[in-house]
Amino acid sequence: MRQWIDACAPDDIDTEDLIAWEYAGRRIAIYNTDQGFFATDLMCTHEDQSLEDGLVMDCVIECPLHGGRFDICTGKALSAPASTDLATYPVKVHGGRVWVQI
Amino acid sequence: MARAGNTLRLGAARWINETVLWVTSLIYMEEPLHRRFTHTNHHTHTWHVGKDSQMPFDTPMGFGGWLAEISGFALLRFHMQVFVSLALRRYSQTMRMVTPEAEFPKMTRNARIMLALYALIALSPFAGLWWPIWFLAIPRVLGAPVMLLFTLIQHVELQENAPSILDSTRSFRGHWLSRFLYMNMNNHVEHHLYPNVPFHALPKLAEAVKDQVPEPDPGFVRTNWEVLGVTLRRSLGLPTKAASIRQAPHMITKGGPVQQVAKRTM
Repeated sequence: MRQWIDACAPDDIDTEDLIAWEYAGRRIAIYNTDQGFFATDLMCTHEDQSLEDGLVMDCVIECPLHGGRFDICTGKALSAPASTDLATYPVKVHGGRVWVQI
Repeated sequence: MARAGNTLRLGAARWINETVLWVTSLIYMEEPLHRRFTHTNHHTHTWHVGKDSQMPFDTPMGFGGWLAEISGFALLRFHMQVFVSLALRRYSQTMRMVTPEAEFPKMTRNARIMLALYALIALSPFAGLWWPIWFLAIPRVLGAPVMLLFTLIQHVELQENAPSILDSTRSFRGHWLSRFLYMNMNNHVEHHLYPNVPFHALPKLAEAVKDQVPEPDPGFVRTNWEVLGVTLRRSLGLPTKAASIRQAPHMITKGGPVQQVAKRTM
């Protein structure tokens, strides 16, 4: 059963940036974009590389190792070498906190 | 240029990177997606035996290995084998290790199209057209040895299976012409440390991190000259210490038989 988990404060993430967050063994990236907060798996689907140091541009995250890009909102793999989509998680801001549904 | 495009960082526009990858792959004679995925794997597992799919020669290198590498024939043969395997849907263990499953049908399609193109080019003199032959032959005969001299010194004589890029990878000083031809990839340690830094910014990056990385080896000509000397002496069973270039400790011997560490993977 999925539940909403209190992840962080909105101010913990700079605009156009992300933080790495871990819950129950899952490694998740939480993003702060112009379109709001989003969450995806933290690891690139191409190879074992954390997206934590990746570049966020609008609603796109670029893997720091090989430059594969993903749509942050949908998780869709946008460009090579990434070809498998990232898993995404619903996010809401409530009571001054960022919540992720897992 | 091919390397920079292959690393998907030739400026900001992705379509330029993609175009460079595909056009240079046609001339380089390698299926572009195979090239992409083996190269990204090379960046992840640089010079790790059994994991790096782009180790182009046996290590430690002898004179025979040097000759096979610089002539480009060993590489051409490998690329042709890859084309045929892909066209026949025979995917090797290495291909499966580095490539997402969904990419194989595209690679097979590309290999078939490119093989057909090469067949047409091979037949073009019968139609009185020679320029398609020169389009492939001139880069292969004149360009490949120069390119391979550049790529040879990226990792040769350095440490296999090293946890640090600094021990497995070489930067070297560049004359303006070699920096231009090689698109600043003489800053190779920096390129491996930060592969997403575009080629035009590598000199700035090298300047910024110069106190944290090994001193670059001498220029293109001198580094290659020393490498050639080492491989010759190794094959003759003579001492293998180079005059000035960096070498991994096990590459420096007083002569005698050579114990192979890595077998070429391409």
